[in-house]
Amino acid sequence: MFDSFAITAQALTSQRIRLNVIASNLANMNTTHTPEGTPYRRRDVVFSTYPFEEALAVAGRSTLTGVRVVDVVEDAGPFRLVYEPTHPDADETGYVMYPNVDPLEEMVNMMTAVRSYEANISALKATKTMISKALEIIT
Amino acid sequence: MSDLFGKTFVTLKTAMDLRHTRHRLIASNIANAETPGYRAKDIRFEVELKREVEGRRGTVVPVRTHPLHMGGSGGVTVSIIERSSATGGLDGNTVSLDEEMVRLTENATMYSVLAKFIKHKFSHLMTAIKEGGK
Repeated sequence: MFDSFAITAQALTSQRIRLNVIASNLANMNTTHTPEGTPYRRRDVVFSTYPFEEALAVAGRSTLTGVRVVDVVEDAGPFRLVYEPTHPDADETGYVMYPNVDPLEEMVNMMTAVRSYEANISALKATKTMISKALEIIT
Repeated sequence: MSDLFGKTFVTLKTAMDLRHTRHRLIASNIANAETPGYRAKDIRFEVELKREVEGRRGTVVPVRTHPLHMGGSGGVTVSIIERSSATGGLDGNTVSLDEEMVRLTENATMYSVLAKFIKHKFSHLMTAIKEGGK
């Protein structure tokens, strides 16, 4: 039963990391230069299954899988070009490269992450209820 | 053990074990609702329960060589199926979150029901034990 807690906890952590990355993307929507000299690049998380070895393995494959963030990758998409000749980061033609962050996309991702988080909270509550019900047998 | 507790206890225990296994799979499905390529997993509860209950009839009961040895069947072994989904996305993930939430609730409720049944069975047994001496 406590496996379920571990799986759900992993999922909650993963979704939280995702939310952090989204928050970072939104915060840096207009960041025109970073320590590397380029504008901020949009980041994205990569989820991967995480096997639980001691699980009920059937024919050698682990069936019970948690989830975790294996990587945070940068979006290689093109930067937004905005004509702002007075901007300190403008090039010789007067264009400024803005991050490739689309606020709409980030908002949608944020909502998905929050919904997933909530779904996992429900799973956690169900696990808790089941454990307490099992304990009620002892009277 | 079977004399005092009977077959009902064993069946209820098996059902609870299976519900528990199913719960773990559902939790795993929800956790991986957005993992690319993940395929939703489940067990056929009724089929597994039938197999467990029927399979037990022919099994050999381990001999207890010491009165303190515990009886019991250990964990259940089940066959896990991969569910295909009509709402499968482009990333190959077949988890449908709302379906999983329904299964989660159904499964957890049934688990509670089973726990309640077992509790009642025990209280009946306690009645027999206590009232018999009066």
